[in-house]
Amino acid sequence: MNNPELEIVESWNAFSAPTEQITLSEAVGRVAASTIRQYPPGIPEIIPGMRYTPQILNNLETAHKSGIEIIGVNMSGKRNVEVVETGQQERHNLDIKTFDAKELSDLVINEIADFFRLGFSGAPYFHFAFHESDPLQSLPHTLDYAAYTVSLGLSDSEKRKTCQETLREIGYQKAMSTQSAPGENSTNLPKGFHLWTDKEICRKQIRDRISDEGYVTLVRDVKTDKLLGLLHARMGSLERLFQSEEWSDPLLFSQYQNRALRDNPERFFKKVDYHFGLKPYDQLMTISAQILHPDIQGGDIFYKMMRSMAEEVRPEHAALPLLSEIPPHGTAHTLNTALNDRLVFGVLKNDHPVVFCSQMSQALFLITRPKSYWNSALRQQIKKAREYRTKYYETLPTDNENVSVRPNGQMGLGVFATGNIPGNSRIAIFTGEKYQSETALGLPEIMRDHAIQIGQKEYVFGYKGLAHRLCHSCNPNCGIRNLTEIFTIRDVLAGEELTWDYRCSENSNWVLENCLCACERCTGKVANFESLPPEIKAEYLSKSMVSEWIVQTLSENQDPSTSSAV
Amino acid sequence: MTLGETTEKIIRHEILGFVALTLKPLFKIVRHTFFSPNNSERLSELICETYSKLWDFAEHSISNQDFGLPSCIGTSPVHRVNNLLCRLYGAKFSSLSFGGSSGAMLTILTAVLPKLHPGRDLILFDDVCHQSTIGGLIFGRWKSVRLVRQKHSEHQTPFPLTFDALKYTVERHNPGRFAAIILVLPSYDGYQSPSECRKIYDYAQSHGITVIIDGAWDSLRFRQDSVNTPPLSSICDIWISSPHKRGLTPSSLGCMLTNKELIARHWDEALELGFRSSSVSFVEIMIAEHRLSQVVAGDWNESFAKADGAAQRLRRRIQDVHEDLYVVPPSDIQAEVNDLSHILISTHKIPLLDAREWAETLSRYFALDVEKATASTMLLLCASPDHLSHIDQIISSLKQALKQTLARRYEQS
Repeated sequence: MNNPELEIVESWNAFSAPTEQITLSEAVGRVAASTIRQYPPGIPEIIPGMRYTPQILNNLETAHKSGIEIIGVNMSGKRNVEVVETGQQERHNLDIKTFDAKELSDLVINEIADFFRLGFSGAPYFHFAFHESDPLQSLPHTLDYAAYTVSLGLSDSEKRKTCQETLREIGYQKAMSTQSAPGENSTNLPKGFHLWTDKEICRKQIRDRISDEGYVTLVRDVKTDKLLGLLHARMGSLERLFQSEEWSDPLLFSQYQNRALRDNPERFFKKVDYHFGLKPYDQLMTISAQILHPDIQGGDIFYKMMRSMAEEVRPEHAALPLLSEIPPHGTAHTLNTALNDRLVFGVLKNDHPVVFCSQMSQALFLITRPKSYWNSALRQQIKKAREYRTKYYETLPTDNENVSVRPNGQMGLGVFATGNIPGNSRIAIFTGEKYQSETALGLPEIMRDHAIQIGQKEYVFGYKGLAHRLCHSCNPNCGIRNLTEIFTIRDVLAGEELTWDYRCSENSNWVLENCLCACERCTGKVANFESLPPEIKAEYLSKSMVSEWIVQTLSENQDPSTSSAV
Repeated sequence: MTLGETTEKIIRHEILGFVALTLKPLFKIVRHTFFSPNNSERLSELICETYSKLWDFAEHSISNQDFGLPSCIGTSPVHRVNNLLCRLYGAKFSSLSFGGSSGAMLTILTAVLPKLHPGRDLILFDDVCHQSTIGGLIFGRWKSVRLVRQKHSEHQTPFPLTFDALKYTVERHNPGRFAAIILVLPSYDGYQSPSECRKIYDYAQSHGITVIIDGAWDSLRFRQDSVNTPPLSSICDIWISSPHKRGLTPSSLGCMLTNKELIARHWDEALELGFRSSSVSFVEIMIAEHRLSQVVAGDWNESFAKADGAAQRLRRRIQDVHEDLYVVPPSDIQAEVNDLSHILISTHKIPLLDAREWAETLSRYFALDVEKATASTMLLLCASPDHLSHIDQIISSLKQALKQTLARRYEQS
């Protein structure tokens, strides 16, 4: 080695890489995957990550001849040593660079488009074609194109969508069962349809996307200059990105059964405004494409791509929010879960979550750190995510001041009085969005778990504030009024836990199998208001601690067991 | 734990309690001895069973009775043992480590340094470090740069570290990338240059780099008053050693010393996370406490003086063995000082002699094991007071073995 002090030894990479055994005499120039040392005193001659040199071989030979024990290679036998596989070394021989999107020539953009287009060839039976009226909707090659053409002519938009979805679903099922990929030109498509992998259209789309301000990270093989990986991040207004990204159908914002929101952008913008305070004209960043050639698939490469991009982002872009679709599996997802301050915003119908980070620089901050730190941060993120469900709590101005949230044994967190609270005092208000029951099924679990019923088919998801931390009890000291307000039904002493009976607002099929309140009146199983014993129903109604919509329903139904109380 | 705290003996009444519980098996032994004296197999089984119970209790059960587990900060009996180490080695914080100094180095590299320097990815390590450092580099997932040491061509021993060489290597990379510099001090042959180490430490501090010294081969540092080694605070942040080199602890115990509370806290957290040995041997801690208490009280001073005297006498009399032999002085390899007990004998003036053959003859026919031998040097460790009373015998053995080796050589040639 001419300059051993200049060599950076990456021992872990070599230690954990695929290895092969070769003889010591063949090892010069190869990267060691194991340690060889003379004993005594045990000082290593070579360690994982170092390259074998003639000097090292000479040292080992001399030591062996003089009778010194060599640990790590059988000098009297075959003299086999472990080295890192050549293929692995070549695999790392990649050039990863990030460019300002504006600096890219047409030639490179076309190269990117072709690479992107061929990247989908792994699943051509799902991404075979599209119709020019809906260029972002991929169609399978097994689709009944004649029937689909007819559906395009339907005037009723609801019927048209239902029909198209059914046809696509049948097509997907067929494609999955045949498992065969058609050739690019094997089908004559009807008018208006184009191959998903149409070279020119794909090039136009990519050119359009890259015309936005942004960054492109390219991975090339140093020897062949072949493009092997692509990461594209771009900036734009929320409105612009909404129209050109595949965010049109996140379940969080749609009606149940995948009704697209693209026809109703106002609703999407309203939601984004509610959650993140972003207006349609606000600038943000998104990651539009992250794709790797199968030969170099691996978290390491994605990490290096993200790091390369994070280091190039200019300050004016670093402060932008990040809203991006992230694949739910594979190396890209694993890496992206390390994004700081990450919030899953919704789930697209292809099961890809849409994530939001308040600041791009914050999101990518971890990526600019060394990998060892990133690994640690990832573990923290996972831990945080695990704790989220039990510990997440954010105060609202409507919360009572004389209470605190703290662990409550097996019930998780509970709300406790920190001072004496008189009866008829407001404790908290369920604050959140209203949803229809069908839509609710598509919501993330964290939200579904903290919903209350405010009508026959209407719910409020109060995942902020104190209200959703109040535990159930079959002998409660709180009730519900004004549909969403939790209040005390009697004086509550300092230190006492505040509870309410969930059945006071519930009339759905929801059931809590094992009540944990352990009070004398515990019914064991908690279902809806109807399931309560008549005397308890009467008591609750007399104390006005039942949600108004249930009272109204009871009046309408003239339930004999409660009519007197009403 | 700070200097100057009074030490207390480990409470042993728990063991007495347990002995009471073993009366039943003891009674069985007695009964068996009288009534079935010929069944020696059963008798030995009973004795083994009783011994095993006692051992298990001493090893493990005490940990449930406020005995405390090894860590830097605290006030348990184990911390009082650590306090003895602090007093001997002149440090604010110390901790016994299981698995010797290797265990300590692994803990530092895999669990402490990542917390100290989350934003740095490189470690500069001494070319002559031993395997535990490499293990730490691998499993701590560090990138590393070697600090290459040149060797003296005749004595085959590495030259001491120099500040200029280290600075050159660090600055060829970005100093801001380095989390730590690991130095081996002294070298396996006992040589070092403290003034260069002071410069290295000052330089490292100016760049926020932690300096760790692997002192596994240092047999003298604990005697602050009698050797010219610089204080811990002037050469490093973390010092790792093997107190058993001079018999201060059983051989499975190493120690970690630091003056920085943050490092001590990270160390304790690392132990809590699982870096503590799963089979903490309290018997060994008791032995360590017993020996360290005696050393602190000065009971071993006479022994140490004898050992030093033996080493000095052997150095002076080495030419009684052969007139062309000599002990390599520090100046020969540009070092400032050497460890008294490590004696590197050069044989390069006797071209016919291969020192490795001489060492083999010594071991095979004179039961005298050497620490290390190369073609032209042999390293002896002279650290026991017994050596003083046997110095003539040692010289004689060296002489006879040398004669035999040379005779064989003459025959062959």
